[in-house]
Amino acid sequence: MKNIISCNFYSLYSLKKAYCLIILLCFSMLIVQGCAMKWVSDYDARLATEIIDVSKQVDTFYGELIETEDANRGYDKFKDRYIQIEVNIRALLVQNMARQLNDESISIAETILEKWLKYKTKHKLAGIYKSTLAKNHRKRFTRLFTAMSVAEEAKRSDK
Amino acid sequence: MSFNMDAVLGNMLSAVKDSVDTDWNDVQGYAKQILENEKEALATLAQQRINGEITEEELQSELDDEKDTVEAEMNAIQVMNKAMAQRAANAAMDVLLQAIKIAI
Repeated sequence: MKNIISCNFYSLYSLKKAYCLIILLCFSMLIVQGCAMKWVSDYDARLATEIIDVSKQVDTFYGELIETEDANRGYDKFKDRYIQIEVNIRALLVQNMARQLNDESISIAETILEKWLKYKTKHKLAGIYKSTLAKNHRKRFTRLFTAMSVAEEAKRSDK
Repeated sequence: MSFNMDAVLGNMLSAVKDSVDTDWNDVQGYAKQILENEKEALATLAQQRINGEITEEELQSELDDEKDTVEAEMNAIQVMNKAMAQRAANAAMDVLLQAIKIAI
């Protein structure tokens, strides 16, 4: 009986020692490797610049469209610009999709693309683009690109 | 070397507070901007409909797009919050690891 008790006590002591060793080992690993919590993707300075560039392209597009007389505002006149900007927005989406822990930025990029395609299709079908709507859409894209830019800047580790 | 857990926890808390204080101002500022933009956008749409500049169908479409825009802006806030929590957690962890290094 005495042996059993002493054996159990020894087992418990060993177990406690083992736990302590594991905890110590974990802490040592954290110290050696440098521990960092990660819930958002790394900041991408090149992408941050590209977001501003595409935002400028969209803003210039609307600036020119609004300045164009209604009669000259047909879809064909703007077709090439629509395609070029669509390509650039898709590139933003692809770059965001290629990163882990980046669901929110992907969602913002998808919204921008969806709105761009929606307004492009409406312009194509209607053949006209009302100034009132163009002004609304210009402001909306400013807000959407701001959201994308704010999200990217928030990822900076040197803040 | 001694390891004073109370002192370490106090320093960790202080590191979290400093980190969150800085980031919180950014989140608050952007949230305020979102609300002001939305208020202005909705007032503009209402006025445009009253003036007959846009049809009922166009108004509905614009309202749908406004909803998606606010959702995108909330996604940006979500990233800010996650990044804020990440920075605060890492600041606390840095304090803890530094204290352990000194104690070893």
